[in-house]
Amino acid sequence: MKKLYLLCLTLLCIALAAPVHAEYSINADDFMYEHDKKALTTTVFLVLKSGSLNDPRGFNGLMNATFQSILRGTKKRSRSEHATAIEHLGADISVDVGFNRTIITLNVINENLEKAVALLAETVLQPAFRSYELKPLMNEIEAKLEQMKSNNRHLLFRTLRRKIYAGTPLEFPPAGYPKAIRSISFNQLRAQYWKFLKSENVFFAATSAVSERKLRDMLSEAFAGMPTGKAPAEPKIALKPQNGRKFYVIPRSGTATTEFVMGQLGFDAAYKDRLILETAMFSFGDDYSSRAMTELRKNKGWTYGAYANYRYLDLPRRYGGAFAFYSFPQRKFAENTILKAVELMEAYSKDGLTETELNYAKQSLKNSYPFQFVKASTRLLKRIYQRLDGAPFYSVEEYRRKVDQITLSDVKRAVENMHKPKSMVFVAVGDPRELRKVAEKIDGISKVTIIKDPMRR
Amino acid sequence: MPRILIILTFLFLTLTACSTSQTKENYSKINETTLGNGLVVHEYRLANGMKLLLVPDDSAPVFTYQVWFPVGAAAEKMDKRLNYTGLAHLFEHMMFRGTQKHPDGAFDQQLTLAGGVGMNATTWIDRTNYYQSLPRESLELVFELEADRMVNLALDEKLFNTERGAVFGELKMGDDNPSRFMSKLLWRTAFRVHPYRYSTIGTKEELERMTLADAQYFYKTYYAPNNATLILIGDIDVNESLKLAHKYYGSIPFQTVPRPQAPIEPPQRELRRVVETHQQARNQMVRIGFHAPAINHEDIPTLEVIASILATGEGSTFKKVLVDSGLTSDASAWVYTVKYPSLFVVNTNIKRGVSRSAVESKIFTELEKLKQGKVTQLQLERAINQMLLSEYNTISSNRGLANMMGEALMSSDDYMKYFDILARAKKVSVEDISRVAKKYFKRSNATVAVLVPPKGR
Repeated sequence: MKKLYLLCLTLLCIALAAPVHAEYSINADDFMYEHDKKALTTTVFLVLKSGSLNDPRGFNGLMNATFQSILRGTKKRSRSEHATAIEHLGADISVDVGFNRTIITLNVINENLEKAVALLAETVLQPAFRSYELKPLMNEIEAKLEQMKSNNRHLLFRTLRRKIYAGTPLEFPPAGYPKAIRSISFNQLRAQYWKFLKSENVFFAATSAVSERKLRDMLSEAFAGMPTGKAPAEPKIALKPQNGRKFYVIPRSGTATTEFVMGQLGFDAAYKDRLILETAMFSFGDDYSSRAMTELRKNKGWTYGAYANYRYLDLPRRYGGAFAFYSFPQRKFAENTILKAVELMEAYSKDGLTETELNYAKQSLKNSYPFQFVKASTRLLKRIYQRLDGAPFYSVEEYRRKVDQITLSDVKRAVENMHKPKSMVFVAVGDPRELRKVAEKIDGISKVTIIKDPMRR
Repeated sequence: MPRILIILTFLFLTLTACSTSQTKENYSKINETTLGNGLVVHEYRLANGMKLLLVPDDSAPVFTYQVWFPVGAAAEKMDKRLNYTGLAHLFEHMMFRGTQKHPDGAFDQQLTLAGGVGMNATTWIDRTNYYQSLPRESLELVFELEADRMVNLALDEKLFNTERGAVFGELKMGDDNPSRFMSKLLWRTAFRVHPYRYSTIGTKEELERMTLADAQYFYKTYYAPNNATLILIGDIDVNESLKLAHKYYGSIPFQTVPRPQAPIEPPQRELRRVVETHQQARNQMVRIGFHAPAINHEDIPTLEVIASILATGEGSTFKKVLVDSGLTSDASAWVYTVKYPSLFVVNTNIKRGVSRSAVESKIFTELEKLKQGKVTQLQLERAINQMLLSEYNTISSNRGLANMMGEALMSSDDYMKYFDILARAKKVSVEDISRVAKKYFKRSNATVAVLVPPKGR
């Protein structure tokens, strides 16, 4: 009986321990490398193909909290010892959780590369998950969110995200909302981590002056204990286009400028007209000489800046991205600027660009494209983006050839299909009474909704 | 026949000698320095006094081109004819609004068409800089455009007023931002006499008073080749660059530039405190400034190390004592490395419900520990290695390296200054820290600026 009891106890201990796995080694397909001969530091990215889209309903921010918590100590080191050990090497380990990826980054001076890689592996494979670290971690995340309440631009885009992606997991930024964060439990964190840290769910990328072979061998040895297996797939997203114009105001008194944004759903990373739309957008709103800047800043001096592009909420991913037109005019010019921006948008969606504008965009973008390859880290991040989202990564020759082929009618067709200015979300930060008067002058807006606390869900 | 040959040979040799000596007169080599990443800085000076720092780097077919003028907010305030702040910055805007040869908009458009990226400029207390990055084929174009606007700007009343409008917008945007407002508050309270007390962007009243004639005077007085440094880094050939520099800048005449001596700020004898309410603040912000020496002072490396010990990374003092303990949502520390004595700053955002005096008390307690030499060797090494990591990352890009050299040159007359500071920082001892902390971290030397949210928030 005693022996049976001991056997059961042993089996129970084994079951509760961290996952046991066959030895893992990094194969060539799972290692991207860019050589940088003059680099005095090495950067290693450990990329998980999962992100906040995998947060369970009601627990947005879980993935972010989970992976931030691995920086709170390992089985061998307390949080303070762990931080000191990393930083003493002239290194930094950081975590960035996105919608469909989580990237753990090591950056270290080359003199201490091997020790830093070992420490990275310890961080990833042996996180402590001490329950008493949970509350301070959540407090920190909440404090950062609280601080964002002073940042009108953050609130503006948080609200835009919520409205454009309403009803989908994309409406929640990866850091989550305070209420959801408070409800996350320690067991959820632990479970989430081991569910997604799986060999088939990760790949490595690195840039260094150290050779590819040497670096890959170093990483393979350090990460031999990586849990094997697959992680759950991310949920499918069904995006719903906006119907009609909606105007939201985040009330703030005493601001000297009125920040506003108007936006709508965009396109995914591999969208067939992506290159046409991005090329055209350069001349409409994505350059200092763009139509938007020329009209609103150069000619009128109403605002310091007016920008439009498809990247404000995130790069286009495997699922649809978003378009946003953003400006921050002086308060006394808010009405003029907003109404003019609407007018510009309507004209653009109807007529596209002029020939001069298109040629300008094409020429400028073709000539500046080499900058995509300038730094080893830039090239690497584009390759990661290509792998995660299917975003095309053209060579210079291919890019120039494709851009050369874009015609005015291509632009008109693509813009007409994409941009529906009668169905946009407007968000502004400022005095609700003043902004209501502006909204009344915009066709199709029947009511203004006040968002008292954009950080509340 | 032979006589003719002799005469022709003599003529040929004479002409060659003349052209060589003519070339020698146009520029002179000053120095050559090899950096830690293997790049070489070639320092030259044109006959008209313009400095050139040329750094070939063929790792990508692009270059960064920056022009630096050692004139900023401090200089305009000290100029008896002007006695403003804000004009240097407003003028920086005007530099993009056209010359006699290239009308308004042409500068940006031509460079953008040529593939230019990152075209912009900044003005600060001691300097103004203009910068862009381009593909290597566009080198001559940027020389031509930059030299042209150094001397041929077409100052236009209408455009001047338009840009003034844009600057008003920028001013208001800054005032809406609690952190930027806080910075102004600190400097104008810490300094009673020195022009560092004035904000670079100026005030509404000063901006309203500025005239086109003021701008014209400023331009003619301070934008001289002997008051300019060109920093060129990337896929360039030194000889070709020198020829282009001579071709486009060589004929611009030297001129006398005023060099007023800044008034010496009298020593502060007691703690200064200022508290203001900010409409957009969500929680209390505290920023403490201690008077600190100018960049060339021997104590600067130690102050940099102290800033790193206090606030760089998860293992830093303030992170543990203020953030992890739940008192603040963040904490940072840095020392300004500028031309005249300035400030060492500690900054923090206090969490709601936490007493400000408790936070201030903690800060001063930690500074007291530094005075007592309570710093471990591990802390010291950690801080220095983090500084190394930061510097290595900065110089990994053309633009980062150019910025570093430019700032150093403007503040200290030595473009290698930051490398020198780091080299000295590596030798800093615990005794140095104690000595320097005792010297500067006295309450009588401190200015405490506080922003509080409006009552009821």
